[in-house]
Amino acid sequence: MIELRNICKQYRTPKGAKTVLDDISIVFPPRCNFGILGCNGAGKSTLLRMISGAELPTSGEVLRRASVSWLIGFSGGFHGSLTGRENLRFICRIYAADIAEVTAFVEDFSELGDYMEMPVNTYSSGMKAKLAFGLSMAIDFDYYLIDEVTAVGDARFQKKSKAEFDRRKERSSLLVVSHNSNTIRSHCDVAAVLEQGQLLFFPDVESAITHYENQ
Amino acid sequence: MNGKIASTLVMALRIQRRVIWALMLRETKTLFGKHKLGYLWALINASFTIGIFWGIRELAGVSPPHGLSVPLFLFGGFIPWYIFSETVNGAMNGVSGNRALLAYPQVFPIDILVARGLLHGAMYSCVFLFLLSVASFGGYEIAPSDPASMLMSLVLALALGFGAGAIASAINLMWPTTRVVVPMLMRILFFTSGLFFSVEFAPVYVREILFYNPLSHLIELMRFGLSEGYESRFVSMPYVFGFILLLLSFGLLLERFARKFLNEES
Repeated sequence: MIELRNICKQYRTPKGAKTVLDDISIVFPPRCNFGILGCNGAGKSTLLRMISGAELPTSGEVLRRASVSWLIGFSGGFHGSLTGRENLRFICRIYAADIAEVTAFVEDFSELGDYMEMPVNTYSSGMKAKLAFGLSMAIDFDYYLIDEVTAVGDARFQKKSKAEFDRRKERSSLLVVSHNSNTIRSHCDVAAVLEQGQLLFFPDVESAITHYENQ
Repeated sequence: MNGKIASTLVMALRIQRRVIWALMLRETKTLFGKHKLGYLWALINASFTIGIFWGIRELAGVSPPHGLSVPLFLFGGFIPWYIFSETVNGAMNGVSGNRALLAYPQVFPIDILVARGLLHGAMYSCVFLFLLSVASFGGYEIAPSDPASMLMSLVLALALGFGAGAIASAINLMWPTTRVVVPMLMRILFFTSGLFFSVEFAPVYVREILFYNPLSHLIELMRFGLSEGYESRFVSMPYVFGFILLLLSFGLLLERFARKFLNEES
């Protein structure tokens, strides 16, 4: 279970403090794919980063009683001068994951071949994304955090990713933020809309989408 | 309730140990990975600097106090110095340079500081051992009277560097000019901590000022440990411990305070 209690987030700007999230409380129950819709700049990514623990709220608390992934596709933690394999080992160590198992999975899934032994700064952005995606699939999380479902790789790889994702959904939950109604419709069982720093709840996904599209 | 807190604490410490170990292994590769000779550079750098001061000392024809030979006298000064200064530099740039890693919620700035400190401490301890064996091969007599004091000096130099580094790192996040100012302050310490002279044997008015600097205590402690049967008259361990404790407390407080500056720039 993940719970947010009275989360506020303010950023300091030259024009004074700007409130992005204003007193948000919510429980993400297990085994429930949750979608959050919002326009650009509504604070979706900030909210997700706070859930992941990458950023601290100005006030309030985030309780994580489950394993939570980093933002899917996040490759910022890779060190350019380390090889794909070395970067992978680091992530395994901090998540206490089995290095051999994860390596085998990622090698098979990401199809990077010999590039696993090359420094990450020789990778194309597509290869980096494949590595990051494979890595987040290799470690079992209770919650997967997704900031806009973006397609990685070619059509075949996308199909494979989709299949892996669907398999994940049986055991884990997705938290998806998006500005795209269709993304939320195809991935989520429950949806909320983030608007002016407030989270609005709806009985079902369609009514959330209707509200979002007519606001 | 107490049991629950204790088990949470144990788990937190276990995660922290895991993260620090992972960071150390990662930094081992990234720190000198760019250069072909890798870690040898730490040795080359230290030997080169010590060599220069050795040459100057020999030319000037002054023999060091404590009954030490020139190279041992200089090792005693430079090794604690390197551990201290490299830890400060590593810690200062570690957090701002590894900001992306903080996206992983189990990685905290403090872990990066600890990992870098331990790495530099271990690295220069190895350099020290290597230089000692070279000197021994070269026919210099090495008869440390007090290995415990020597070890104490190394550990405390690391703690001192860690405290100062935590402060520098936190201020660096709030005020990036720190990166320019700290090397200037380090330059002052380089000349006043008694690396290539002995504060213990300096004139009274000089000694009284320079012994406010805890690093000069640690350097003298190292030299007395290295030499045979000399006792220091002025090195004060309570002063050093007190200083380090204050520095660490302040550094950790500041680290906590500076966390909120981390996200704002990224």
